[in-house]
Amino acid sequence: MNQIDNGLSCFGVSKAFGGHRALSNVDLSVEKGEIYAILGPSGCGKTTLLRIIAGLELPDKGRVFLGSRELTRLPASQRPVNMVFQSYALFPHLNVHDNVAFGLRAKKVSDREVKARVADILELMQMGGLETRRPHELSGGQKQRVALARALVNEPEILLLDEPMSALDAHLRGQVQDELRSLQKRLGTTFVLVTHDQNEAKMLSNKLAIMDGGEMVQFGPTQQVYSKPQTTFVAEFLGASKKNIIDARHLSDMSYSTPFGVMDFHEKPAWDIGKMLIWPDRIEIHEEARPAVADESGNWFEATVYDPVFNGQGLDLHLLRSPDDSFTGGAVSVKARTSKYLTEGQRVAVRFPPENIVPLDKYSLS
Amino acid sequence: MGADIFEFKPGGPPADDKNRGRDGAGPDGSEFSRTGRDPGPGAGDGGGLLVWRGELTTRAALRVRSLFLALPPLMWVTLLLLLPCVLLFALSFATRGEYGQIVPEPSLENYSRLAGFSLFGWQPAFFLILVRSFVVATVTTVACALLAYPLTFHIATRPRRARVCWLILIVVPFWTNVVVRAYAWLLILGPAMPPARALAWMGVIPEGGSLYPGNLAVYLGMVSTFLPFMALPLYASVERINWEILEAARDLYGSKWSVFMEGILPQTRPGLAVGVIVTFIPSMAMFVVTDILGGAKTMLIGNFIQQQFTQARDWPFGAALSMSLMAMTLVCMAVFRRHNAGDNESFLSRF
Repeated sequence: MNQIDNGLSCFGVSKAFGGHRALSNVDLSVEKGEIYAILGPSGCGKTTLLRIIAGLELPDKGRVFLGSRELTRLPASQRPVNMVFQSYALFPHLNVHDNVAFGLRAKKVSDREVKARVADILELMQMGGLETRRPHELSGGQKQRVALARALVNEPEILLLDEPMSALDAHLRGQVQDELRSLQKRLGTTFVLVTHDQNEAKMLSNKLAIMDGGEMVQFGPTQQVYSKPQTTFVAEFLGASKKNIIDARHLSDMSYSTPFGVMDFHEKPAWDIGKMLIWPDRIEIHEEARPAVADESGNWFEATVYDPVFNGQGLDLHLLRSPDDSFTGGAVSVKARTSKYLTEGQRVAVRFPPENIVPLDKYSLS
Repeated sequence: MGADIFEFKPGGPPADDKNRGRDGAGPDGSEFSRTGRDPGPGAGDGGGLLVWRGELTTRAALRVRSLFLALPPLMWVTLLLLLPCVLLFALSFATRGEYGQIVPEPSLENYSRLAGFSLFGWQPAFFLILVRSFVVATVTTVACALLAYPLTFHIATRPRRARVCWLILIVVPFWTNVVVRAYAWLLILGPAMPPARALAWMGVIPEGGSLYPGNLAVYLGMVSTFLPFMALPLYASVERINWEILEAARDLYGSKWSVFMEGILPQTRPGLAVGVIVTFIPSMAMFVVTDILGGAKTMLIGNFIQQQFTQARDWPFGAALSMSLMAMTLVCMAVFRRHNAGDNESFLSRF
């Protein structure tokens, strides 16, 4: 087994609650200094995994290591790991200062050092001056800062965050994401966060794992997972529209038949009949007819613009294979995103660059 | 109640006045000035429409209704609590006649007896009774709290259906009279039953002896009587505990003790406070259980008062004793409240 220095690794972790399998045979390896996001729908076991790492749950099988040190059977109170709870779980009867000082006092740090370190971390979290407030006198964003400060003041090797943004207003999230990233950069602490919001995972993490039904479905650097999802589930969970997940059937060599027409793939999938994905922003759209210079093998099609919607930067629109399709039930269309100004019904030339076509899983009847 | 009334003040004249205006005089100058004026005490209340919790009504109607609703409990408290208290207070200044009758001659003799002064000089007998009662009530309350915590946590962590069964088991003793339960303890602690025989075999008590009367029997009876009073309010708090706070305490290196002190105690304090109050107050005055299980050995204030009203036929002195018990209990509660008032202001403001 290959363990990373000071990184976190989980091997074959399984956990069942009653008859329900929350986690089955999950491996995880987090390097020091990463922001690692575990993404999945609710009930996929991601929170259970986080709680096992924190020591708030005992795995039925499997082991958890921090570097070469085994944590599996270590009580939560002895792990160099701290958690930011989804509800923040601030001590309601203690003020901000005493909440933050809790861990240090439990570790019998001298009063003088407690005072200095609490003041430092509150300064860092821009919470100076609010020391005597009680949790119920704080806003959601302030509570989150206190929860972060309370965990980070202990200088944990790993900070665990359970749905850190879920209790915040939408307009606060972007700001808090930026702050979390810069905080992590400054402290160098490893962050492991659990979320069901793919946007949050995308904005925060540099490594990403996707879980479904208690299993790890795909993991890797965030950018890589986003550009190359391996299954329909991952693609859809990362925000791909069903319209952009297209059936394909092998014809010859790299040519595949799709409802949109015959397309060339760049990468040969392992199946003959299966599904492919093309992200909306990877489709090239040309307002005139197909440019003469274009390369012959380039998956060029004629299409009609349908239902363009301004999204703030550009347009989200549907590309119809033929103009009549809008009136029939089974319209063949994909979603696209462009910065060009296009109107409904406009005929355009579109290109599906072969290198941007992502083969997904094999076609199954279900 | 007043703070929650959202008053609706129409800009124009009140609705019923408007109708009257249409029927009768019409909006001539004098009529308009009458309704447009700031409504007088009676008229304003009758005509001022307001919406209270979604109901369109008037202030006067609300006042009548709240009086109507408050009347039965007010009468109850006045007739059955306030009046007897006043009578008892007055009685405590009367004197006992030769044959036990009440002589309405105001004197402070009962209170000086209470303070320990008698024909034979100063004796602290009464103080000892009061202190002993305080000790019994305190030990009972503390024992109930110590037993109720594990009990309520056990119940709160059961599946929903099992929780109901457990709660019913706690309430079941209420179906039986205290006297009956005390006699049940007599049977259990009797010389022929296993507990007494086991202790006799070990040589702790003499052969053929029983476990009553005595402190053990009194405390067993008291705790079994008052445990539900402590457990039920405590359970209401334990059931609503935010377990993440306990986990946070553990995650932040907290010991078992600090998890209890910082995680459990602050969250269950409201239930514990109610439990302490409803256990301590009646156990200060309890005499049935202590009488039956304690025999004549342990005289408590409850028994003492009961004796004054029955055997001794000294109602004035009994009244004075009752007053002293009430004062003592109020002082204890005030001290408890002050110690408990650090947190949970919202809860204690209800007391």
